[in-house]
Amino acid sequence: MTTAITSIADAKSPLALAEALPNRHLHWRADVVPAAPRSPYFVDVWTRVREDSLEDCPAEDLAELERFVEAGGRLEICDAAEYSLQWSLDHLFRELMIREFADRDLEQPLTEASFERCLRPGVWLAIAWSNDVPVAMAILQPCGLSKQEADGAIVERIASTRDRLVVAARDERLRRILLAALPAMSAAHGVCWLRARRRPWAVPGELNAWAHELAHASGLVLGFRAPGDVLLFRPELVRAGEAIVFFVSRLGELSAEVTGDGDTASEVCRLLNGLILEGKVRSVGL
Amino acid sequence: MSRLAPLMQLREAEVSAVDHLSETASVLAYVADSDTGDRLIQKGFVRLPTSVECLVSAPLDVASYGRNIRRSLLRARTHWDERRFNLDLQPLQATSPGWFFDKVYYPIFASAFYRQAISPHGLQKRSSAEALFERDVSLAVVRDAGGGVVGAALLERTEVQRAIPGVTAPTGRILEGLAHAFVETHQDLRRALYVELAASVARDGDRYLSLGRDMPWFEAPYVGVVEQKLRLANLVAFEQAPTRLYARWGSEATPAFVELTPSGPRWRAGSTDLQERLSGLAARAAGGCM
Repeated sequence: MTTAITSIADAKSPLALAEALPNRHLHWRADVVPAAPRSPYFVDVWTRVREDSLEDCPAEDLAELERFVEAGGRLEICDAAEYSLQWSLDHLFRELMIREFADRDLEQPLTEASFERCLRPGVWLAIAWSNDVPVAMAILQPCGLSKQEADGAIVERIASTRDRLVVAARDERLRRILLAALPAMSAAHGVCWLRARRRPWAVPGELNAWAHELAHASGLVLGFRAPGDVLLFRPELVRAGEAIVFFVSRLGELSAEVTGDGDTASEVCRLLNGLILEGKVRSVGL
Repeated sequence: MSRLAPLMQLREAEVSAVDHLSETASVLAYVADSDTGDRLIQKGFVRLPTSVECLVSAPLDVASYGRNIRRSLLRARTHWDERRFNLDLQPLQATSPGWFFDKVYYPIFASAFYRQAISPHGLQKRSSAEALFERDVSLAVVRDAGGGVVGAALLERTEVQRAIPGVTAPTGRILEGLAHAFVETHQDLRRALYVELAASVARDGDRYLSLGRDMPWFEAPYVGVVEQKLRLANLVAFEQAPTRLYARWGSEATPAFVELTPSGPRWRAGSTDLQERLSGLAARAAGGCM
């Protein structure tokens, strides 16, 4: 994120300090939380998946998927152990993931060491192949649920859930093809829910992915980490091209606000508030 | 200094708040006006240079180093010759962007950045790398005997403007290293690359090669890198930009940093041993101008 967040987590009187530093985004801890809009630390996007999930796909994504398969492309879900670590590093991490991260101007969301750690037994790889070359991939790991989440109204009783850790593709078309097919592919392997964790802010180029995911989301969990642990954004300081997702509670009612310019930011905000109105959003740690 | 609170463009009205914050946390403040800086000094902050830069003479005079460094340079150089590597230095603009990104940026630089979890000059972002085509940047490509690219370095021709009292520094234009990387199997050739680069730079008529600009404080894993740079350096240059830099370390003091004092830069470290070692290396490199 290009907007600097000043950490005052160790300050003795963070509330007073927050008032003395009105021109900065802040991360702090305190017994008293501010009335200002707070942002969650993470937004979990939950998608209920079925083997007939393809029916829910936008028509254009479905058409792309059909063209991909007709042209000889194939999709698979397999255990990460089916491929050697060196092959995964060369063909998935270096050829797909690093290129995607660099092209999207992201910081390093996953280093080589953290990628290696991801590929532990039981982790799945979803791969789209074209001419026997991987062209899009996602990592799916078994989901660890906190008791709070597992008991929640949205999540209900989850038989099988997978965390969708990261998606990388050679281009946007292949990314959409993989994402369109992923729910049905996962369901065919016994998965009921997919969960994707996002940061509450988006750099340019990420909002489209937000909009696409939220359009298919079955529910959201907002993670506020712990009471009094505050991520406090000042909306007026958000820079051009960036977007930050806020959740505001007024009179006990939650609503979402998205800073940022353009139609996509408005669409993300509309989708978030739609999910809130439908009762599909809950918070943990607030 | 893992819990450093950076405050950009600190305003005078915020000094009290920052003083309060620095009682428990390490604080780094960027200040545009000297009055605010003076107030921070009164509060116990130290002023830092904007950057620290180790420079080597071009060409590298291997015989001028102590025995250990000399031997390791010669050994690296022998390995370089045995593997029949060669180095080609040319303006980045003379290369095609398509070739650069396919053959050098993704396989050499980006892979190394993600392997080492480093982000020199934000070059892990493609847009930052694309922007280099608009600047006076040179690309050094290391090829093996078969012509395959096995390493590379990016260097920027830059105007040196250093005005710290008591410090002799090169003036005029130099080549400054931005990033360098090798494929995984040839990591041991970094020193040989320095020798080759310095020779190539000298052939182009330059006197100094910069080993890259660093921040003036060093986290534990980076202290060793700085020591290595200082061992090779023939000159250490410090820069102060119009926006001044001040720091006050909290309970987790940084292992080492450079302080700007009225009489010049001073190396500081948490341990006396390290402080003496860094100061000694810098003094040798600076030729007594520290």
